Amino acid sequence: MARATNAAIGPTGRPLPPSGGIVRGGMYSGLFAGTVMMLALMLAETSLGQGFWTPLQLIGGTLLGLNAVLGGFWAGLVGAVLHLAAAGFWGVAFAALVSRETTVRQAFWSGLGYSVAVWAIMTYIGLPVLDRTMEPRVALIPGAWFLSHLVFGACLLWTPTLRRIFSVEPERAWDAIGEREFRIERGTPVGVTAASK
Amino acid sequence: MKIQRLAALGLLLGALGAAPKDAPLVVRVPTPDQLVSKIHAVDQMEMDAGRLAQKKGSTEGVRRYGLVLQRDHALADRRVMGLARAQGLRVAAVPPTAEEEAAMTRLHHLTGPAFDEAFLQTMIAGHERVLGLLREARQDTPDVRLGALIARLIPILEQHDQLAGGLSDTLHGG
Repeated sequence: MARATNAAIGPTGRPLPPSGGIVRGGMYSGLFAGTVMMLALMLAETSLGQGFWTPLQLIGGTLLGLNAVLGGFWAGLVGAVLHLAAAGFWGVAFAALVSRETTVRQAFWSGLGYSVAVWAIMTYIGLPVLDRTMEPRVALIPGAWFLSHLVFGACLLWTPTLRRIFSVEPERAWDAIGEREFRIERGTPVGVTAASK
Repeated sequence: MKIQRLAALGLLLGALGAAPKDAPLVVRVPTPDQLVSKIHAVDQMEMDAGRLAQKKGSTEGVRRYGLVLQRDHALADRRVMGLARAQGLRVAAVPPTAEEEAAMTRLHHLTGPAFDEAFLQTMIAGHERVLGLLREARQDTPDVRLGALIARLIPILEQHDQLAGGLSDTLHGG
């Protein structure tokens, strides 16, 4: 019952599994986007007279509670780990939603839309449930909070590329960055996957 | 003219609950102008107190708490002044009450653990008083945007109150 569809062919000429690269590609993309997002939020907080490390310390409040407000190295470290873990998770979820064939431009716009959904979930569910320490402070900087999420979404534009990289054999992975090395064959039946290598 | 100004101040203090008990309470609900003026004054006072704690605190916790106060109230004040500008509200100078002035003078003269103790107690009492005022104002104010801003400020002030309580317990070995 094979149905004709598009299939991604890797640099070695072998068809790639449809789910290939979702976890690693999405995770790296999320980590990159999360790092840029956090830098943007830290700069915004600094410009508003808050501390540069304040956002990370406030995220640390998820585990450390109210004492995270008093700052310190550990609060910042815990916050950094939690933020990157969350960013990696959202990156993987985004990678599962976009295909490897998505162009960078399409991924950029999809990422922006996706980031609005992430913002809504984090603002109305994540913070009230997980981090009551950060929640009231975010309410005082709604613009910076929202924009930092847009930055996150925009930086997810490399997700399809990273999915392609991590779909193929490790020794040829970097060849997959170029579109020429990675082609789509139309009409290839589903079922021709890595298992047939 | 002077009598008018005194009367206006009397109304403001009465409305904010700072007037003596036997003074007639002419205005029950503070106007938005009076509220933003009072919140601005509280922010300024808390920022001063925060700076003082960073300078004179004998423990790391108290110094950091001072920094939190300074930063949070600076941000809150930005929002309050921004709202006042957007709504065309008049922010008047509200002088500190005699009690507040005495507390700050006392803090300036104390040092070491005595300062820490007095500072935290002053913060607990001060935040509880301001929280009472804001909770009431949030319900009563006819200004929707001001009410929303007050609703955002209350949880932060509650955190300041809790932090001061926690630090005070730590000072007492709790």
